[in-house]
Amino acid sequence: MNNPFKKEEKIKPKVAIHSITGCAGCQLVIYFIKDKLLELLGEIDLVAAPMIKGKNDEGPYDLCFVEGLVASEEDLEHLKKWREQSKVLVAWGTCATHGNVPGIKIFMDEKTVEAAVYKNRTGLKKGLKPLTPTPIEEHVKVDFSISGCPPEEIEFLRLVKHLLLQMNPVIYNEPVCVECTKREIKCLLEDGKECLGPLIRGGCDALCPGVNHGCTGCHGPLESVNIPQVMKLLEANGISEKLVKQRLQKYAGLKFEKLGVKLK
Amino acid sequence: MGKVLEKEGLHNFILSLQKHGLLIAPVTTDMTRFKVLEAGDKVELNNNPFFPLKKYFLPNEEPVLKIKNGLTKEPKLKEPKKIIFGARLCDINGLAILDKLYLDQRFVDETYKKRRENTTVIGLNCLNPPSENCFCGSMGLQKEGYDLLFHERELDYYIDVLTKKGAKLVKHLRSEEFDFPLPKTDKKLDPKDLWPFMADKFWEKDNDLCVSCQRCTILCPTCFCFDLHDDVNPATKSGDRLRTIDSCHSPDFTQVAGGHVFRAKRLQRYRHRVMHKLQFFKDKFDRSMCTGCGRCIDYCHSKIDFVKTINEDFK
Ligand code: SF4
Ligand code: SF4
Ligand code: SF4
Repeated sequence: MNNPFKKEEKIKPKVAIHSITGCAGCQLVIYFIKDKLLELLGEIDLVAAPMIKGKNDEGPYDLCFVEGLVASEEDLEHLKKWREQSKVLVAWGTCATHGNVPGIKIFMDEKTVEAAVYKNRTGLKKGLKPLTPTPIEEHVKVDFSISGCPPEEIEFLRLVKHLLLQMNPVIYNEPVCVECTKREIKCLLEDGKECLGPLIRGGCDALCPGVNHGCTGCHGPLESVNIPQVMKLLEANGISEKLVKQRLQKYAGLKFEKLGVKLK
Repeated sequence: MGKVLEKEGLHNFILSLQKHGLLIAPVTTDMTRFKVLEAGDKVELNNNPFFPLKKYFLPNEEPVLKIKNGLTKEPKLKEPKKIIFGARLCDINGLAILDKLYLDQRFVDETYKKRRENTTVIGLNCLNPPSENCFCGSMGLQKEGYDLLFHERELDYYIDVLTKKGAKLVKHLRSEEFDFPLPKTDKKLDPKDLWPFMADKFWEKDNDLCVSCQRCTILCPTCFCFDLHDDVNPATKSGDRLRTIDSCHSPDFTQVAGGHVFRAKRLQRYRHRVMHKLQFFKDKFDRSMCTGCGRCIDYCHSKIDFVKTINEDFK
């Protein structure tokens, strides 16, 4: 990827923070950074951030964060437009990167789910017509994926800083076990409990194992994982296959299927 | 030359060390960990801590360069003097191995060197191996790397004294000459040249169990590989260049500019770790990089045991 943040340009890079179907929690992470965000605001031009701004510009954008997944026709229209308008597009949060909780729908009868939510579907605005819920990379090219439900503020800061310094951004790419072991946390898996740590991308500093709660996988899986062996370890701890599969469906079902797990 | 301390004097001796610096020792709660001793902590004399001694010399993350207004300078190490009591010979020999790399005349790592000088290491010899996976008895451990080492006898502790720094702490004690025995373990690694087994199918058997969690390298007293990251604020052009511990089990470990990954397959990574520990390092430094602490077996999610595989399957 060519870094669009050219040094000689006096103009600050135009940044947008946009959202499609989701809970808005991932955007909130960015706004909660406060002091560190304010420092960065001097270096960027936040031209669109509908959650916190009244006036929001259409593209072109140098950098656009997209939170949420594609679940309606309107989502898809917006996403395609932002993609066209942006030099760098970032999938921000597990809905955007993996489909997350709304993505569970693909493992059920979609019509039944829709009927339960929209009893009288004829009243729906045209653009809100439901689509099969899918992560954004199923529809457009994504330059960087940062998962997390919600993602960590440090991952936002690191990416923006790296781009501003014309560096190749580094996205954390190690399993949860790494940060967990560095923090000297007693391993839950070893203790006969449930933990998906070896499968899941860290970056959370092992938040859940740190409070004695197994990792349930909110960051989604790493690319190179040994799923059959982790399944065996969980089974040896007495964790039912049904529960494990529910966990895998919960945040990143589509991705786990692509990695070879039969979830349907 | 050594010294002798009566058994009932141990507790007071340990506490008296606090006069000389920050006192660190193994303490057991849900696990045994090295930690700064606080009121109410009981020093653990039986278990080997989860995380090895190396954390006091090569922390998980530390700046190697300070960047201020776009200019760089070496960080100044501001750390109190430390005294570490209760380290086992496997971890201590692990330090001696790290010394070979970080104190090499050609590329002295100043921070590591200062930490070594600033820290007094007091070992505790193992009469019984703390884990059934200990195999240090077959790894040629040596009486080196510590300032003092306590060896428990029936009525007292014999204290082996290696350095002046250590001698100062025990100068009030009675002297004695005693050749203390090195730890013995039931588990042993057969000495084998591993080169002929590079293509052995038995690597695959163990590799199928490996989940690439990296616990084996993070917890190894001699794994020292690191990565470098720049954390710089573009507004102030200030920040740090950070050294963080890395692992050869990570696919990103061998990624180079342009994106190519040299050891993309897990099998290559798994084999590389074991080969480096037991063969490549020895080829270069005439000594195995593994001290037989057993942590990489104890804390492996799948309890992969390379000692067993090498002993039984590599024929
Ligand atoms: S508790 Fe979970 S994340 Fe931590 S080391 Fe064990 S399996 Fe990995
Ligand atoms: S390779 Fe394993 S047994 Fe050897 S020193 Fe490292 S952790 Fe200990
Ligand atoms: S601890 Fe075991 S499972 Fe984890 S990377 Fe090492 S060999 Fe593989």
